[in-house]
Amino acid sequence: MGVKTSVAAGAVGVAAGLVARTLVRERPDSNGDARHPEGWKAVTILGDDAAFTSGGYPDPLQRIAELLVIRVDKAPGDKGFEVHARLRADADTSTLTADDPQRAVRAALRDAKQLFETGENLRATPRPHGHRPTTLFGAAVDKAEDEAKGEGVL
Amino acid sequence: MKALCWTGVNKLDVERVDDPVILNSQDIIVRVILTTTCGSDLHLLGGYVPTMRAGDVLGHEFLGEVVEVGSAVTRHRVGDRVVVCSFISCGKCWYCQNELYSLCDNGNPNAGIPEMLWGQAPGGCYGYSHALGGWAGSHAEYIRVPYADQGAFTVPEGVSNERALFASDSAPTGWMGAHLGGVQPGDTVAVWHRSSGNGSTQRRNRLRL
Repeated sequence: MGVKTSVAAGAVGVAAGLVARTLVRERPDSNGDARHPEGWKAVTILGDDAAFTSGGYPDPLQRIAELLVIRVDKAPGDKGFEVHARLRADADTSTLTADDPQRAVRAALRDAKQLFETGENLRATPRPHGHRPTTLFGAAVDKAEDEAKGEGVL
Repeated sequence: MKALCWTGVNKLDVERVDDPVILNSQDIIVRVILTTTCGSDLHLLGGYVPTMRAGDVLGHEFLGEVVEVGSAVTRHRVGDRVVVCSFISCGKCWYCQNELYSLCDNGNPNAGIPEMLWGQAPGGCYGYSHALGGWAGSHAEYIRVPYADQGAFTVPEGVSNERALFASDSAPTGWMGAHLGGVQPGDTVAVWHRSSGNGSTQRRNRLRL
């Protein structure tokens, strides 16, 4: 398969992904994937909810807990429990390191879940890699990775 | 160490890269003895997976010797010969507890990328783009294996490297094909595939018949 064909196929893949992303974002608020009108975000965690809340939340969430309204509910079936969080209306978000406070909430929820379920937060870097040339596409991948923990459908 | 790196569409180079290090207490470091090319590496090579970064180390199907062990690892010791599952799974989340390891909630640190692109995230996978975690792959002299008690399996004495290697990906992929196809004794089957998974699927079909 030639380079042009591969690039064209890759472009089609990217376009399909962007269309899919648009569809996800434009779904009604009630389907759980769209941004919640009140800013609630949630993760589902397997385990004992009493252990999650005992003595404070796991550190990644506890660190910003005073800025949040947090609710813990039983999850459907055998899925454990749900942790819901949203920023308080009067929260001083200047202390957050993330540019977008919503990213900080997503990251805290993801990290709290991982710490509770596995006992530690997984570190991805530093990792071995070859020469990283400076390219527009490469910069886009780097940015997407830098912001990944704060993005997504939470 | 030396590693095979993706450098662009249909371009690969062997480069000198940093050695992997233990970053989490559940990690092990494996000296790669055998690593093989999967048909799905062609998707990366050909540019069909849009979140590859020049310099990424490829490879997700491998076997090797444990050379370093994190403090929380209980099932592996230095010197063990292990075959490692392609997907990085924690063993603790709901998906792992239900044996849906490739959907692990905790093995993909970049879950936000596929969630934005596709609406949901798969787990993490060695050497398989930044949408699946950006993990360095096994076409290298050494590799870091997170959640090692869950994803690395000691190879029994008497089983050769060449036979054990395919327990990493190809053989279970073939088994899954036969399982999902509901293959039963007496069935006549046709197999469409173009990689080593093809042979494995045929072999699994024979074993199930």
